[in-house]
Amino acid sequence: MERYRKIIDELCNITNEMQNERLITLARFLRQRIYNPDTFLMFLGETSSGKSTLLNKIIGKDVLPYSAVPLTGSVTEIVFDSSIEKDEFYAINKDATMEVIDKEVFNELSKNADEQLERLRYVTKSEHDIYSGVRLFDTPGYGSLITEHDEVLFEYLHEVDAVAYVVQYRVGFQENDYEFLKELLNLTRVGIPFYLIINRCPTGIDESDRRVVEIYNTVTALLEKTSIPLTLIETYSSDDANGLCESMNSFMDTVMIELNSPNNQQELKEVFGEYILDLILQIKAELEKNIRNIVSSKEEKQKLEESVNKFVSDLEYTLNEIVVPGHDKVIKSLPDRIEKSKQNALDSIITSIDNQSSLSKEETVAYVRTHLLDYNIGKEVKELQFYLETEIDAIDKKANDYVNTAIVNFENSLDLTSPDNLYKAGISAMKGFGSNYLGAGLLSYFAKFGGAGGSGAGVANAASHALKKVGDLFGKTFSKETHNSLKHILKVLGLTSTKAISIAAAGIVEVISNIVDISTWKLKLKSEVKKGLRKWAEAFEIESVKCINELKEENIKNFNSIIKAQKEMFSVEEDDIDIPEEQLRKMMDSVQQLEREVA
Amino acid sequence: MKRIKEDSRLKEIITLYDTTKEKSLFNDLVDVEEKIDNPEIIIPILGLQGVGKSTVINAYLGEDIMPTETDETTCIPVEVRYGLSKAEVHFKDNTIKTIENEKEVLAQYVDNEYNPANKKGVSRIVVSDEFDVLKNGIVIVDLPGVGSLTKENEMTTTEYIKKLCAAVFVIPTVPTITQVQASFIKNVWRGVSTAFFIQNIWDDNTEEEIEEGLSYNRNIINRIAREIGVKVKNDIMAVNVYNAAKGAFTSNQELIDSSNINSMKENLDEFALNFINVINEDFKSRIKATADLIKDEIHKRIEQSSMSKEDLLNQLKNERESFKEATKKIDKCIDGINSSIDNYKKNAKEFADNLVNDKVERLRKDMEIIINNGVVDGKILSEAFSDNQSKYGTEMLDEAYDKLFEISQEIMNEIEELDVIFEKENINLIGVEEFYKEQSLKWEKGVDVGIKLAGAVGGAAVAAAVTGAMSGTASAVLIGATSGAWAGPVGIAAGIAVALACSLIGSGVKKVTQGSRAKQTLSEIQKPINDFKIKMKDSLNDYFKSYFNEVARKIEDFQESEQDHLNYMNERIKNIINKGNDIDSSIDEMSGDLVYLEGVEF
Repeated sequence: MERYRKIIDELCNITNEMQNERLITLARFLRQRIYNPDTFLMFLGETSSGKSTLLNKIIGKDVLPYSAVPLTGSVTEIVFDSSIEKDEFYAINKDATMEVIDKEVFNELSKNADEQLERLRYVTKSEHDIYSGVRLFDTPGYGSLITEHDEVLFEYLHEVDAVAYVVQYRVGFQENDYEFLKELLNLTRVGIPFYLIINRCPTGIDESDRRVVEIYNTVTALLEKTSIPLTLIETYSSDDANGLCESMNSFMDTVMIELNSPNNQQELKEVFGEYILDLILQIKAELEKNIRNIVSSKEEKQKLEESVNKFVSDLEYTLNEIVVPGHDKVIKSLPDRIEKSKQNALDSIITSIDNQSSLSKEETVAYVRTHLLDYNIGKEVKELQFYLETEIDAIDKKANDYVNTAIVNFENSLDLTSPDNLYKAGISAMKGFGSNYLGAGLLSYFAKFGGAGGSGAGVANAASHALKKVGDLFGKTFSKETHNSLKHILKVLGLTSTKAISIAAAGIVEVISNIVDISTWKLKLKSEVKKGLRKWAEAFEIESVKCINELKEENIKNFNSIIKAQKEMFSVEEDDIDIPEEQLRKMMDSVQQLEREVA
Repeated sequence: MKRIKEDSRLKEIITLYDTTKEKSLFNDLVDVEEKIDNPEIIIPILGLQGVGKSTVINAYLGEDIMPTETDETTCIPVEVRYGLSKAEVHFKDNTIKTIENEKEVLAQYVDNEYNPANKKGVSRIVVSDEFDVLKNGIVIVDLPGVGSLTKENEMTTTEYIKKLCAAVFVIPTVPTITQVQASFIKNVWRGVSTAFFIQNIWDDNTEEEIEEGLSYNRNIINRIAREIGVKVKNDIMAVNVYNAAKGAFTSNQELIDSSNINSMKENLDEFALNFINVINEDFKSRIKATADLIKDEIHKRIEQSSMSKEDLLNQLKNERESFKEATKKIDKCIDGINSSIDNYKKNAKEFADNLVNDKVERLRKDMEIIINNGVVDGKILSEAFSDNQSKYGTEMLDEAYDKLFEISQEIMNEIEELDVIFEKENINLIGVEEFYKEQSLKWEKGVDVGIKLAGAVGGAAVAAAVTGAMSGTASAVLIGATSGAWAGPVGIAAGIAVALACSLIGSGVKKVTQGSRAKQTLSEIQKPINDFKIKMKDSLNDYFKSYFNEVARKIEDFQESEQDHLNYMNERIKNIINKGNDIDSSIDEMSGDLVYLEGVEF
């Protein structure tokens, strides 16, 4: 890391010398990150499992509100800082603004989050220096998962470096937990550590306790792990909090050892290496551009401009003729598809109902409610998801082919324009931009976490971002990114369905319990099923159309930003900087020197 | 061109100089030659849920030959091939009975109604006639599709799939390919190298429906192809199968032409032609490789015949040392491969066990919720149990499939590394290359030629064995040998879920009917759930095991051959020590043999 600090310092100097605001900001931002890398530990668990209480013990004071009834309406970030005078409270809003708030407002918001709130931040004057660089996250219990919170929570899950999963001994493992743990595995990064905390254990039990073993085995199985570090927290009364404090501190010690492990440090290092290279590439491209503008002839500039225009128009064509109509076609086809799915599920459920004896009303109702709805809708949802995946994948593939062809053509035309290859860095940077545009790379890392006054609109750390970056091929990452968004969409649709199914199932119980007539209950049941399915179809349609539209917008935005970046990168307009060629070349040499050092 | 089989002089020469243990180089050539004389290009028609695959066959042949929709009623493969008009029933005990070539007679064996649960023990039916479209060696097979495989015919189907080099999938227009169907296609396609798709069009399909169906099905097929790393070589053929059959039976050429069944004929013809070309090319290169090997051996012997005993011994001993050295290094690499295979094995076992545990616990949970909500009726529970079994069963199979595919790719990669190691360690190849060349030729015979060639036609990895192996490297030999292993268990997996579903619903759950209280029901359902768990574990583990065993066997065979070759070298050295120079043919004789070999036309 020491080496990286030196390199980034030098890069800061060079960007200053270049007087390029954009690069100066980027370099400074990266410098700050390299000097103060953060890691994120998220506490997750069923509502009222005691997460806030445990966190208070780590903080060392009762800051986070807790009670027996469900609390924590928002995500709360806890930052340890030994340099501040007194504790600070912030509200970070969805529009990336940050407000200083007082303790009362903080308490209020943590119980009832308002519309704009993205998360709360609590900065505590740390007694424990060892925790600097770790941020803890308190989360809403996922009992309330299928609400507007889920999106926020999902967004966060992608960024965390470690998860502490809190289960109450007495409550044990609930139906909710199954689904949640599976989701968790899909949404977090591969290979991050999980910790299991079993809270409120009876005094005197140990790891061999039957219930502990049961919980432990289920969690390990669901998380597809052979073993997970386990912490048992005994039931405490408010006047005996010391023991609890101790257990939590020893828990944190375990976590810190893992987070500071050579493996993790190595990973972090690699990530920063990538970002530095990314920055170097951009500096090089900028220098190259300046040099080019000085040495190129008018004809050469004109030719370059033509090539760039052609390339940009190729990209625009891909956007307007492939990406946009492709998404539109899917959106248009959805209502029909969903209608057919609804009909399939309905037919199948009705056949089953008709097959039951008129006498077994209760059982049939229970059967519909607990199995038929879920099973048949589930089957259709899977098909719909498969359909969406196939179609989006096809658009993606097609767009990729076009873009790749455009890149090859562009490269060839540049070769013709400039046999001495003055565009090498530019081209590499363009490919680098490819990954940027796909949401990885330094620029987007910065956009997400460096912008808006440095408050950061989302949770982030370096590692998670680099993991998304696979290779520097323009196309490859595009797929990866779209694929990630798509996976997310499919999950959301799955959850939408689950919610709609449970509402439908509840409706059925209500109405049926009032009907006694042997001859009419089937009719009534069928009509309820029909109603439930209709509601499901409506919800699914709204949500899926919304999701695909969002995906479309995201892709449009990405395309436009890359188009803009290309224009800038190869612009032939002379910037009003007056650095002589010789100095530019010297800077280029030192950057190249630094590049070799990193690589 | 003279036929190899009839060339007795060639036989004599090759056998004389053949240094392999079995001395089978000549016979191998004859085997391939026979394949060319009687090409057998087995292509199954795979239908998905009654999309009319028997009709496709009838339409293709232009004759009403297939008894009913066999996919609905039975699971016995029916083969249609070119030949004199006859029909044969092949039984499991390898006996064959000739029957009348009549739809109704065939039905006696094929139709479930007359042959329930295949009580008659039929393994397959072979129908032959002088069908023009089959003249080129194509053998059409009506193979049970997804959902109709049972434990009984699982083996038959598996054996069958091993012989396949291409498959025709009949897919629907409305609704388009479903996820389950896609997963079936994916799994079979991995085993065969070339896939054809016929989208069945009905008269009532609108233009728009057809276009949309085609476009979406195309997307799915492209996606599957990308996932399994093959190229889509043939676009979907949109065929009005019903009209094609009707046109053929009523001799209505116009109807036939408008049905587009001809696109299927053209595509399969082209494939057959290609296939035969590839076999021919392979045959030529095989003769050449064999002849080169023999010529090298003759040159060596000519040189050796005039050597002093001492010089000869020295030369042979040097060769032996270099072979030993290379073998040692190879064996060390193989040890490495073996131990990582052991790891994969453990890994696969753990994977299968965890997978089954996880899914079955979910199933148990699902069933418990149903029962706890008051459902105790046996019939309902059976239905729910069967639903859930097929749901989780399919999920398990899909995941297991992908896992094994991944593992097999990794093992291949490791074997490929052998070349790198060889290059890096600068291993002396004197006396070694010859051995690998021999092995390459031998492995060709070890695995069914059809599959290898299908690879060449299809451009799949298997092709490496045919041409690549002759380059004479250990990795090429081993890859050629092990790549066949993957093709093995395709059929098994397709059968697991369904087979289990049938056997369990019939027994375990019925007993639950008597239980009237939830608690009792809950305890009673545990047994069938646990049975399901055990059977799934067994099946998945068997599935993985059969792959690993196959690979291990191939590697063992290879090492055995190494030993044989070393024995041969030792033997010869011993002979020379005892009796002196062992080459008793005269230089003239040997030169004559050389001249003859040069003159053989390829």
